[in-house]
Amino acid sequence: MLVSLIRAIKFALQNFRRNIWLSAATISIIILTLISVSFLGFLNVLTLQAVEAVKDRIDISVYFKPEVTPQEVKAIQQKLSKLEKIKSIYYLSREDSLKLLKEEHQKDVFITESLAELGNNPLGDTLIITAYELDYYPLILEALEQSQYKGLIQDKNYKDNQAFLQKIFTVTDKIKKIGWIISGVFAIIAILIVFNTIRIAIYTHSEEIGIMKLVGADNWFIRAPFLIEAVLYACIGTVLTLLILYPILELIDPYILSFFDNSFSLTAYYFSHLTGVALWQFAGVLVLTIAVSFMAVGRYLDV
Amino acid sequence: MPPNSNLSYFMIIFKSVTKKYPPKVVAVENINLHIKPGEMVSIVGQSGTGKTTLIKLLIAEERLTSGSIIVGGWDITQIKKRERPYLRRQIGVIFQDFKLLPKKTAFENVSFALAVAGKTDKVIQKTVPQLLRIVGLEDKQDRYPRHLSGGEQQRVVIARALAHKPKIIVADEPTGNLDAINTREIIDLLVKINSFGTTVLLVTHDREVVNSLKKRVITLADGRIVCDVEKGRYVL
Repeated sequence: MLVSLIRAIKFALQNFRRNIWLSAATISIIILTLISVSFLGFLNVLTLQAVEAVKDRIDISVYFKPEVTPQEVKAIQQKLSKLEKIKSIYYLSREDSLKLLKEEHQKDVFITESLAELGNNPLGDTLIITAYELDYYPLILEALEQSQYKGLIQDKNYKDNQAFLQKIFTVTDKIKKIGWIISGVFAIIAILIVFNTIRIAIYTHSEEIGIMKLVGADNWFIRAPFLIEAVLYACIGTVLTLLILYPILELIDPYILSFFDNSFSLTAYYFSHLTGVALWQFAGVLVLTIAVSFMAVGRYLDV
Repeated sequence: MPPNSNLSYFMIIFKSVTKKYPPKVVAVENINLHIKPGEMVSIVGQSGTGKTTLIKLLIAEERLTSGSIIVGGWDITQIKKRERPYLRRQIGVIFQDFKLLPKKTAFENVSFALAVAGKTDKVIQKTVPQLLRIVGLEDKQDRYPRHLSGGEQQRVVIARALAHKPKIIVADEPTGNLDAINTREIIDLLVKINSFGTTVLLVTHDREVVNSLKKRVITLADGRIVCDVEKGRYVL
């Protein structure tokens, strides 16, 4: 058994070396396929990251009536912060709200004059709520509506945001779906390319396989070196792909950093997911190359 | 039936063997043949008379339509796919087109036949040089087939065929691609192998070769045996 295994490894390495151009061409195709699939993966990550960035900027403001005291609002803030769906709650005092209003509308004579005429601050305190997911907002607001605090709330800006939120929902869902469809189509194309490359590589050995059978080789004696060669293709292909990806990502990372205001680096993402990326790529190519080798060699074994 | 009716006495037996290819091509029909151990038999006939089909049936490269074939007491008529390698390790085959592995050296081509039978590296390292010495190629063992002449390639094939120390050597037109000098040398080698007790089945249409051997000659025509003569000649 051990002798057979060592012999199969020896034959595989010999085949690999003596058909170096064919081996190089096969590995090149695997690398190109893996790089393309990786970039599609990165594109998905970037899209989701962009969607998350937009989502992070979304919040709802709950305006309390002026007669509600800051202590009451802060108590509500504390109670709400215990809800799992809420990511953060920011308390905005009536003074700060007024300051912001004045800053935003300093050129609006009507508002400036109205505020001057009123003499005192007409605004109440505000809670700015950020949820973990977009679909949590309606639930949070519903909880507020049905709570004891209902009478304390003057207004909420949710209705203004609702249409926008709905649009974001639709767009993110569509982006995810399109991403999956493109990934699926691309995966099929990649599989077909690798499939045919390995098949052609083995086709060039078809006559040899026939000769091996005629001199008394059994099927596994013939198959084993091809399967080991497939493992070799997968190993080399994956390692080279990972090595090639690094400088490419380094090259494009400054643009991505600037797009996300330095909050997301693709190179950092790549390194933090390196083991996973490597394992998925290796496993995918390995299963593919071994399955194709097995099938392709099988075609020529019936001698 | 030959004088000795004990079937186990024969090395090769063909009993009413017929091979047809669809739709209605008859390659060989009703072949009855008994070959004794240590015999050297020439099978002659014009192209398309079924000579190569007989060899293919013998090494289970083709399945017969009817009849039965027994090799060394083993009925291979219904041989299973997984048993074919064992049969082929008992019959050394020499092909007209050599069938050498192009990416392996002469040494590796011969050693491959031993490796498939699970021989250890030690045995291979000892046996292959001996085999190459028998065929006169000990100094060219590291050459690839493309760097060897036709005659030299055929000698590598003979060395490979001898690797399993087979009781039967089957040579299908072994000199078909060779010049007169190489033809003589290859035939001399086969005679030498036969003199050691190996049964040799020589398929050829080379008149001079057959006549010079003065051994048993079986003549085929239209897929049937038309003549089977001890110490015969090429009569077509």
